Formats: sequence, structure tokens, C-alpha cells
Amino acid sequence: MLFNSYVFLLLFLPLTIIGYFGLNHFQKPQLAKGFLLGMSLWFYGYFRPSYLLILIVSILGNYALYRFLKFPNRKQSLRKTVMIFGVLLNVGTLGYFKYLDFLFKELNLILHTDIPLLGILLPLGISFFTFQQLGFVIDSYRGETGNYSFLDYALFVSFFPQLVAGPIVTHGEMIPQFQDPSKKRFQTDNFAKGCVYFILGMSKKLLLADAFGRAVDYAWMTIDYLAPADVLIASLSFYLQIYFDFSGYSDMAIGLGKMLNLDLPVNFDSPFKAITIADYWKRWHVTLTRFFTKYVYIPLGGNRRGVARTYLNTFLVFLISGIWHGAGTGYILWGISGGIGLIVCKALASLLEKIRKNKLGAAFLWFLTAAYVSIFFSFFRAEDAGLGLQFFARLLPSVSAGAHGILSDIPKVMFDFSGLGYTMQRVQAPLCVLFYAMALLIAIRMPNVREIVFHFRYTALQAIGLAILFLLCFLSLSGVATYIYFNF
Amino acid sequence: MKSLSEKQKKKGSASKFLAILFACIGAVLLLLMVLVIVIDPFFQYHAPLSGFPYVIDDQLSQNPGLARNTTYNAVSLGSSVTTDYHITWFRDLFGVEAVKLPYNGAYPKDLANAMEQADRSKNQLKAVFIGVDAAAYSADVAEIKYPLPKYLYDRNPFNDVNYWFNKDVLTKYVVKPLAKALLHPGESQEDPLDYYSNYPNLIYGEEHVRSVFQLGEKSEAPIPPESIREPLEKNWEANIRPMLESHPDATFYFYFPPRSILYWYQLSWQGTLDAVLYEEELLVEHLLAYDNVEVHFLQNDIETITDLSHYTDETHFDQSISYKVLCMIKDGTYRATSENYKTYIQELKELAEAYEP
Repeated sequence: MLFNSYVFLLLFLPLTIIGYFGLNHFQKPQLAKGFLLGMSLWFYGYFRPSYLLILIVSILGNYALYRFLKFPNRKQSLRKTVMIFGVLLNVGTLGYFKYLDFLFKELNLILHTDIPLLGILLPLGISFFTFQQLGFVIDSYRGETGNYSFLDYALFVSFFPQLVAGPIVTHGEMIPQFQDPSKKRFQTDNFAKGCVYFILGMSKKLLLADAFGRAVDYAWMTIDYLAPADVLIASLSFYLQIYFDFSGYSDMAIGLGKMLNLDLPVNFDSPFKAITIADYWKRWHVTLTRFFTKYVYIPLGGNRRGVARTYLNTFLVFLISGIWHGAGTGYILWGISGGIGLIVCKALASLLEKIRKNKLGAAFLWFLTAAYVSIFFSFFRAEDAGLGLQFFARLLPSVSAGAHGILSDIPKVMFDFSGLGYTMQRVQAPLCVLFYAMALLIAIRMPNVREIVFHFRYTALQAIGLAILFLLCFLSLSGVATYIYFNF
Repeated sequence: MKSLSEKQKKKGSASKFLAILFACIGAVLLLLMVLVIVIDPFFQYHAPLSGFPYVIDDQLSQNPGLARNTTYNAVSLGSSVTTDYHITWFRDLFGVEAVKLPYNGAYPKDLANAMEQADRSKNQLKAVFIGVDAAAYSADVAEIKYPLPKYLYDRNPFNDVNYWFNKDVLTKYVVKPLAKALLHPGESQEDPLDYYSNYPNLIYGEEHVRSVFQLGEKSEAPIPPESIREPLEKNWEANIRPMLESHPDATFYFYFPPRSILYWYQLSWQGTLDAVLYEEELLVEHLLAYDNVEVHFLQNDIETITDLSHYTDETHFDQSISYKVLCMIKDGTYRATSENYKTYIQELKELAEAYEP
């Protein structure tokens, strides 16, 4: 089920809110939790009922591992073996569903073999719920998990706001909230904040990201006709698209949690404002960075084993991150680029610090960072590194010579005014320029949704403004795009 | 305590905020819903309002409503070549009130779907006109040309939200014509049922047809005609026969529209001519077994199919030919019988094979 769908907005969400708080109101907290779990499974199964089986088996298996690791007086070596088994099981499941066909395809290409592809369907959100459980198994081995009932655990994994696209939550931040009696009563303030989060997130996704998405799709469809300027615009557009799309989704998830009095962690902290790549990675997909830091970077030695090893560890983390994001060489290149950017930032930390003290220097660094991120995100969009290189080759005059470009088409692609007559069609181009300017302004200068909610004042004007945004989103639900991040 | 309450006061009341938010959203959605239901641009709830300048240009979305909620006693089905009839022609030539339910590139399942919608109305059918694209009758029985917006076809009232709050419905089909109606009141309107009565911006003429015509690759191995028997039989059983048998009181006029000679020559070149003609033969065999069926081989009207001045491509012809189509059906000029239908097919085959473009 998509957040931005009629069934979610008109049926699922009201039912969930009423059911959960209603059951709690009648002193049935366990039933309320069970209800929330049931609704979350419905939410997930709505995409494709067979996915549910994978999710349920994964939850049962990992909970069994947890019970084993929690049992006192187990031999340490046996616990370690079981933990490693658990890690391999989770990674193996992810590998099977996400990478096996990709691996066969690449092998066939490189070795000229003919291994038949299995046509495996990727269950939505598998990367997210697998990582969450992977961390849980490791934490159980380390003795960092509390006494959790199966219901708490199953809800922690499947809680619908974060199930298919994060934020990647930890048991430590979610399960105590499920158990907290003070969070079981409907709270108007939280609900209102949740609504603000949700509507602003949905607006980012539907009103901004999807418009950029149409321009990006068009550019990649017409790759052989791109002029150099188109490549730059398409790169920037995709960076804007993925930011508004993914952060919008995270805002919606946080808002939904808030409506139920549950706090989900921040996932985006205005990454467009980052001055350096190091700064950028602290702001982009924060919960994933947190996961990799805890479960990959630090176990590899972090920065405790000298400079060279620190760089190697950084590189490995980003390589893994690239692989995690998708089965495609473009993702790997994206990960590597991100890692190299961070390593360079670490190596030049003192120089960058000096430059950023100067306003002009900071602006220059910001520009470099934004340009670099736009470039490596284009490989992400390409999925295939070869296609990404083909895209950037259009920057070379020798390759794009004679191409008439697509700039003049972009306004028509982004905004369909065909139903509104000639007058409106004439203003498409200036509107498009304004739209880009406004989106950049929102991303670079304006407070992010968390900051807006923090300082939010409940006024009639704000309510009307949000109602307008909601209505614009609601009316655009017909034929809207699917979320980019669902496949990761 | 004082500072906390001041802080709360400064932040405003969450419940009042929520009340305004939901009241605004609810009121606007209710208004839009009422507007869409009253105007009903896809005719889901009622027949077209008299005098309202409906925009009718979307077969997939508007045909089901037209089929269910207008009054008629004849249906015209088929592909794009059946779209530009004037409904007055049916009245004048056959004495029936027709509704047109064409689907571009229609497969038999598309025809069956359209009839299913028509059957949900209270209209008693006297006549059904079906333009036959024989080549489509060997498709999969469930194949449809375009995915249908199911919420406009099914009986589920809940998914009508897709209709009430659809931005395209609101902008293109409600607000724009509503503005037109308010700004130009009393302006005469075409009969909404007469939509698509001509295609705008099409160029007709031999020169144009030849400039857009692409012969395609010559086939070295023609498709064996027998290979289409099984899929055709399945389509007959699933999509055509039930239609005939559930309307014993209606006359079915199956006709092969006069596609140009270039079309037949192309089939011959591509090695599918024998298969398509065999498909026609099998279909006609089945059809002629029914008393309430007439079959018309209009593709054998050599004068029409060889005069490319009335075509825009190898398949589509102008309105003068559309009118002629109905006239030829009415007059029975090329009506098939069990005695002559094979001759019609043989003549066409010889014509196509002998043609030199």
C-alpha cells in the first residue's frame, strides 16, 4: 500500500488510528499492539500477498535466533556461531532475492555463459527489514537487547510507517516506545504534528519530486539526443527528485509515527545545505549511515588503526552501501564515488575547514559538493555504470555534436497543461524556471520539515495552507509515480 | 507553569488547528465530489446533461458510462475505423438510436467488455454493428488493447474516489467545459453521443498515404493458416458466441471494413494474408450459422479500396467512406451467404496478390 493512495488515506489510516487508540482506551494494550501488527501486515501484503510469507518467515527466524542468543549460560563460542549463522542467513536471503539474477546476468556477460535467470521478484523493503533484523541479531549477541515479547519484536520489524523505505530503526528506540503506557493515549498535539509532517512530506513527494521525475525520465529516455546543458539539468533534476522523494517519504513515515505517539529517527537533515561531502553524509539517509557505522565501519576498526586503514574502511563501507542500494554496476559506482568523496574530504579536512570560514569559500565548497553529488547520483539513476558513462559522454562536444537537446521539451513534460488551454500552455516555460528556483530555495535556504514542525504555530492560516497542500496532493493521486526507494 | 501556558498560547490550539484543517479538506472534497457527480463527465451516474459542453475524447473512460446510462437500441462496436460515424446515420438508414462504443485497436475481449457494459443498461437492443478486424481474432481471449480504468467499469462504489477526485476529470472534463458553459451560455452543443464524428488534423489523399506507408519486412515463411484456428475458436467461444446468444432479438451486423488495397498487399508481403483470410473464413462460417447475424464483405468493394484519395493511411478512411459503409450494409451490397463467402475471400486474395503498388 502506498502512503499516497486513496485506500491508505481514506481507509487504512483512519482505521489504524481509531482502532489503535480505541483498543488502548478500553485498556487492551496487547490487543492494540496486535491490531497495529495486523494492520502493518495488511499494509505490506497489499502490495503482493506472497511477500507476507517472506516477511513473516524472516521475523520468526530472527526471533528464534534472538531467543537462543538471549538464553543464559550458552557457551560463548556457540553464541558466536549462531550469531554468524544469523548474519549469513539474513545476508543470504537478501543476496538471493536481490542479487542472484544480477550475478547470473553479469557472469553470462563476462564469461559468455548461458546460466538461466531465475526471474526472482524482489520483495519490497527487503533491504530495510533485513538490515533492521541483522542489527538486532548482532545486538542480541552483544547483549544489548532487552526482554522483548514476540509481539513487540514483530511490530518493531513490521511497523508500517518505516517498513518499506525506512527510516532504519533500532529495537532500542522502538520497542520501549511500544511498551510505554504514556504513549497509548491519543494526544492531539502529537496528532497535529504528525499531520504537519505527513502533509509536508507528501507535498515534497507528489508536488516536487514527481515533477522532477518526469523531466528525469524524459532525459534518460532520450539520452541519444541530449546536449551538454541537458545532462547538467538532468543531473540536478535527479538530485532534487531523489531528495524530495526519499526525504518526503521519511517525513511521511515520521508523521505517521507521531500520530501514534511514536518517534521515528531523523533520516534527512537538509543535505542540500551540506558544504562538504563529509557534511553531506551526515545529513543524507542518516539512519543508514548510523547502521553502517555501527555494524560495519566500527567492527572493521573505524579510525583506530591508522590513516590508511581508516580510508580503506570508509571505502569498504561505501562499496557495501552501493551494493545494498541495488543490483547494478551504477549503484556500485555511486557508492564508490561517495566513498572517494568522503576520503578526499577527510584527507583535506584542515584545508576545507580553512576555506569554509570564508563566505565565498564556503559557497564554492557548497557548489562543488552539490555538483559532485549530482554527478554520482546520476550513476544511481542509470543503475548500469555503462549507461551512466554514456549519459556523461553527452557532455563532450564531440559526442553530442548536432544534438538539438531537450531543454525546450522539459516544461511540457513536467507540467501537463494540455487540458487547460493555450494561455496556460504559454506560461509553462517561465513556470518551469520558477519551479526549479523554488525547489532549490526550499532545499537550500528553508528550514526542513523537522525544523518547521518544531517551531510550528497552530494558526488558522497554517491550517488552511496545509489543507491546500493536502488537496493538491490528494487530487494528483491519479497516475502518480511509485517511490524510488521501494526497490532497495 | 505560567511560562508553559504562555508558550502553549503562543503555539495555538492543536485541536482548533485540526478542526480547521479537516473542515477545509472535507468541505472542498465534498464540493468536488458533488460537482463531479452532478456534471458526471464520464456518465457514471446519469445521461449527459442537456446543453452542457461535454468534452468527449476518451473511449476507455467514457464508453462504459455511455453504454450504461444513455438511451439507445443499437450499439456500434469495433476499432478505430468505426469511430467517426454520425449517430444520425444509424437513425436515417436503420431506424435505430445508436450508441458508439469503439475501442481503438479493439480485440474481441474489448468488444465483449463493451457489450457487458451495454448489458448493464435497461436498453433493449435491436441492432449491433460490429466492425471486424479479423487479424485481431486470433489474439489471446483475455487480451485487451489498453488497460481499462477498472473503477469506471466495475460495480464497486468505493473505488469511485478515483473518479471524484481525479485531477484530469476536474480540470479537463469539469472545470474547463463548465467555464465554457458559464462564459458562453446558450451556445449550441453537439450531441454528446455523436462524439468522434470526425478526426481532426488528419491528412487524406494518395500522396499522403504513400508517404506514410511502410511495407515492412518480406516474410520468407508465411504463417500457416491452420495455426490460427485454435486461438480463433477460443475467442469465438469466449467473446463472440455468448454475445450473440444472449441477444437473440437483436440483429448483428458483422462487417469487414474497407481497408485499402495497400493493407491487403502488405499482409501478402508479410506472409500473413492467407492466415488472416482463413481467420475470416472460419469466423464467417460460425457467424452464418445464426439467424440473427448478417455478414458484409465491404473489403471487397474494389472501387473504394483502390481509391486512396479517401484514406489517411493503409487502414483508415474518411467520413464519406464511413457513410458508404453503413449504406452498403443497409443495401446488402456485399452481404455474405453460405454460398458466396468463399468467393469473396478468394477474390480479395487474388486482388491483393496481383496488386502492384
